Amino acid sequence: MDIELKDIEFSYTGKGAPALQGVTARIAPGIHLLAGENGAGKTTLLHIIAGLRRPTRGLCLIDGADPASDRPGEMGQLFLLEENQEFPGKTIMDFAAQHSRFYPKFSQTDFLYNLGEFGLTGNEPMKKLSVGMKKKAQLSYILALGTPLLLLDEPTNALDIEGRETLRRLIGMQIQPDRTLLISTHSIEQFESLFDGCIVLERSKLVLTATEEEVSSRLAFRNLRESDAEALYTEPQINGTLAITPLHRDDEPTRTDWRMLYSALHSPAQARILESITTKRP
Amino acid sequence: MNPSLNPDRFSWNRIGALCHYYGPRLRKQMIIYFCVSLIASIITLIPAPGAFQVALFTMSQTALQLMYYMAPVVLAKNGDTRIVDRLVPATSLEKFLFLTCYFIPVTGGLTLLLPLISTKVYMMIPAVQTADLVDLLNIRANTSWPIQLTNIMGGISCVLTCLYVVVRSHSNRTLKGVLSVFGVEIAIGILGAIWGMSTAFMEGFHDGYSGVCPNNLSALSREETNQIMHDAITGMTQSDGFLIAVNMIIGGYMLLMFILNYRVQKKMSV
Repeated sequence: MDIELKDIEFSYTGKGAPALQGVTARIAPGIHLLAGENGAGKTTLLHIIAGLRRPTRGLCLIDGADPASDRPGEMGQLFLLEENQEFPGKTIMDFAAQHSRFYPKFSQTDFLYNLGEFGLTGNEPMKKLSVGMKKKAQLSYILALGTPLLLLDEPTNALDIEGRETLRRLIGMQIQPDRTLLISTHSIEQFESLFDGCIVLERSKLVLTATEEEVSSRLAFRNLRESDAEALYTEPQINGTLAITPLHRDDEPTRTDWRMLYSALHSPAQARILESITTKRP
Repeated sequence: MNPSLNPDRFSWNRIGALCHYYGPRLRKQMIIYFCVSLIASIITLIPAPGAFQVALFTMSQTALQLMYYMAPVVLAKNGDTRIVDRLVPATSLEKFLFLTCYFIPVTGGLTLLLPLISTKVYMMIPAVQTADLVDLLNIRANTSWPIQLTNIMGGISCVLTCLYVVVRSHSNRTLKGVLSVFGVEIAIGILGAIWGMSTAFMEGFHDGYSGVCPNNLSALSREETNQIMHDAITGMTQSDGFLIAVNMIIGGYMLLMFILNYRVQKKMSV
């Protein structure tokens, strides 16, 4: 599903500082990172995309339709899992039995498989599950929903290392190229290899929206032994320096280091990084 | 049944699916309410000393009414489920209709119907015709319809306020729901007090109590006492202007709560 954000502005109080301003982006199908510091407006943006909030100004369109339009046909195309969200029902199986009837693409097979991968049966009473286990049960279900658009807000919070790895594997398996998955997370490394693009927010404003291809065709992410005068951003390490450098025409593209790109965008190097991505390759 | 059929129009199928979706949360409440209602009905039929029976009946009726008003609190039972509820692919109208139908006629019938039937049965027993409870029930039964309308609208307003608060609130949803019911009850009580006082001052204190010293009330016969109570209640309704004003205020508030409950389904406030 294509998500189109046109000059989105949102304010909670009407008079107060806007939670989002001037956000314009186009998000194509694929797995996208939504990153930003605390209070940058990530959750608000997810709510707008999910149709839970209407932007104060601007337009949000999902495949050309307004997600806040109150049309069940469009509402059934997406699902949002937030941090600390509760699902009603004694067990996740009970909940799935009642809730999945609204989602014709729900796959019971995938659901059971996901539960098994997380080490759950689905019949565990939700009240007795720990926060992490509850999250695993919820993730098992929503990944099997089959909605073309899935919005995950901090999905790895409360998950153990094994759980995070399982989640990464399941996302890789079950998110087909025509589906759109937007993951808002601070644990960027966890899904590093999965991201097809990123949306970076800073203090309510959009800093960058780019695909993996756009980033990797402009920037190189290297581990340098010696200093490089061309480096746009560096991070000293014990055995060298991690650096972002412009990618020249003859250079071999490197894999995008989303974590380092995010750090660079929140450093004084931001302007140079953005310039390199948006201007033509030397 | 596939609720995705007819995706953009009103669909009874989807309301059926909503019944299934909310069902597990509401089933337990329905059973408990029915059981409590049954017990309250039995209490009414138990012969007991006059004042004690009236007290027992009044207490059980109050408890049932509060249960009815606070029924929407059940939606807060599973924690904050507002996002998942709001994302359910059904129109706001369908969700609004389902919730208001469940919490007004269904819960109301479940809670108040059995005791109502039991009181009617009780009043038909010839052996209890002298009981104090029968007097009380007779007074209630003879209350004019505008007063009964006020009571019904007041009750529905309590339910709708509780539903709105529970659906809209971010935190402490149960506590806020309970407090909202008491808030509306107090507001209606204040309105009633103003109404009563205004009637008394404008129409005069002539509704049965004139010339009667309160200390001598016990000396009155049963028929006289009932007549005084009946006159006191119906006397207020003789003041049409006030009654219309009170009914308009409560009716207006009820209508507002209907609109707000619909809007809260339409506009998210997560």
